Amino acid sequence: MVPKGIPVLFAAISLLATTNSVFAHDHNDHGAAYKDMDPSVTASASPTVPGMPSSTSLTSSAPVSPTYFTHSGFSGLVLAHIGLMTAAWFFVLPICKFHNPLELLHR
Amino acid sequence: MLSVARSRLALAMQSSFFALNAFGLLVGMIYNNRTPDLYENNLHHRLGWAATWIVLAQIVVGLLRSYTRGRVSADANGEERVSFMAVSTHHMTGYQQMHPDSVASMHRYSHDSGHGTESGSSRCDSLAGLHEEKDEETHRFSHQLRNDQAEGMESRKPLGFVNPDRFLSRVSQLVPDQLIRIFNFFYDAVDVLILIIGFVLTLTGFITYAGIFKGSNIFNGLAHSIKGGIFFWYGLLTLGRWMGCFAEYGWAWNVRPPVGMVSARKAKVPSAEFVESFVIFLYGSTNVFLEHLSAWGDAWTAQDLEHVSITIMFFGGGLCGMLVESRKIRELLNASLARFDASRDQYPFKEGWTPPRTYSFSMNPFPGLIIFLLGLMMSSHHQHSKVSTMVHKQWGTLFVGFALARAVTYILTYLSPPSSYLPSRPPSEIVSAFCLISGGLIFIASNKDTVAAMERHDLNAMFVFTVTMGWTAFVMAWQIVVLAVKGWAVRRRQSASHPARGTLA
Repeated sequence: MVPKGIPVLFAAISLLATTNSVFAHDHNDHGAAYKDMDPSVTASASPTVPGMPSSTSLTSSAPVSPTYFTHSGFSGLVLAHIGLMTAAWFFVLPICKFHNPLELLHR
Repeated sequence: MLSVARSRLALAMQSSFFALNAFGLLVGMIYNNRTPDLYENNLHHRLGWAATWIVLAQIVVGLLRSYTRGRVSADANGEERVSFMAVSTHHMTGYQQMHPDSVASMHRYSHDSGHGTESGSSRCDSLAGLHEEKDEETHRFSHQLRNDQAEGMESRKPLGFVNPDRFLSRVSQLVPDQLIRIFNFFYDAVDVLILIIGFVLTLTGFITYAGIFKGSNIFNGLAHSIKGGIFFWYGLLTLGRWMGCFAEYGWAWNVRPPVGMVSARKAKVPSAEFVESFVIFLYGSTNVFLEHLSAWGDAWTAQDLEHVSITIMFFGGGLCGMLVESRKIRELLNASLARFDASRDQYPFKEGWTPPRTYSFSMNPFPGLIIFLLGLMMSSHHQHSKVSTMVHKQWGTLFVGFALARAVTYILTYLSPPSSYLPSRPPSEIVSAFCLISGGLIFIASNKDTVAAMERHDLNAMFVFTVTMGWTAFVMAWQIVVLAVKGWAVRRRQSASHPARGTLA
């Protein structure tokens, strides 16, 4: 009686994961917002993200250290990870907790 | 037979959780291998592994527990067990009157004096969901254990097939009683903590992914995340209270069940308003110096002092709230009428001495007032940028909304105090829960790094606001579903043990 959607969900996410090579190219073609986060800029310039923007400029001119978000590769994998973990911890776990008949005496 | 089915379902759910978690970990590890380490020493990876081991341990402990059920009561506290039995005999006398041919009636109870069964039976009906399950379960498991020992454990096959069952039952017999108590404590502790660990994992996952809170930005990030997280869970608790959780402590906007119905330990649990005031007080008293952490050793800036003033308000307001809740203090404050005590029994003054109906219920505006003021302050709080100001204003306004909704609840309860042990479900509490949950989430999002990222990607404040509102409503709906499933499970258990019993709406 495992919820029926789970195997389908997993299959869908696995498919997503295999398409990472397709997605990897797209991210580099997006607009100016990504251009200033070139991973080749070394982190030695400034280890911290500018925390107090002094102007309301839309794109920061200061170099920003690379993050997973800006790292364009394998986004399918991380999405699969997020999807699977959300399914496990947000959907299955609370039901599991409250449906478990072994802990009646405290509820 | 039904117990086998129930255990199978529970086992299936736990297995599916573990399988999903395992696949998620696998995918995460592959991703990690293929990408450079862009966030060194991050908490998400460590906590993720720790949480996986903890959950695995809990599943194993749970499995062992199902075989050692009858040996030690699930509460390690012996007193608790005694008081439960006292309650159960009280119930049982009433129950036996109603169902003379059930299993329960086969046992005679020493306290069965026959008197008081009328009040007992009426209480039985009104609290069918609250306590019966515990009494019956305590009774049924000891009964079952006697059966099992007589039949050599053949009748209990939680797993449905023989070999692991025999192996585990032999293993469980090797476990000493003291260890079982530790297991029970561990299991219950993990049960409470696992959702919070999951929440922290989600937050740290997002933080690691976006690469924020590095260097000295960690303090600002921690402050916003912890405070916002507390308000988020406070909102979930408020929704739970509306739904009727913790009704046995009187937390569900109901009349608090008296000592005879609940155990002595439960009757001592303070009111919800007291707990709210206490948490506010605790925050105030511990955070005075934490506000200065990012500039430790340097002079206190105006911004530091701004935040410290909030903690002082929390300290004082929380203290006020706790004092207002105290019955002792209220009695002392009635002392000015003490000199008229003689008139208590004299006609025509006697009726005037009846305590007002509002004495039966604790109505404490302080938690609402403090958060109202916090919201007002945030709405007019100077920030570095327009986006930051807007985002702070948003969650400030939401907290003001919470306080107003809570005020409506208190107006309603003042005019018409609750009259039943059943939760009264004032609709204004749903609004207050919604405001707290969404306000908490936007609080988390209002940290410096996230605001900077918003500005960098040209996202305006309304985007975050709208997404948060949608997400909040979804979380609330899911919480209601989860608790409804729990109620369904409880009802199924009850109907399995007492087919003749009617159910309460």
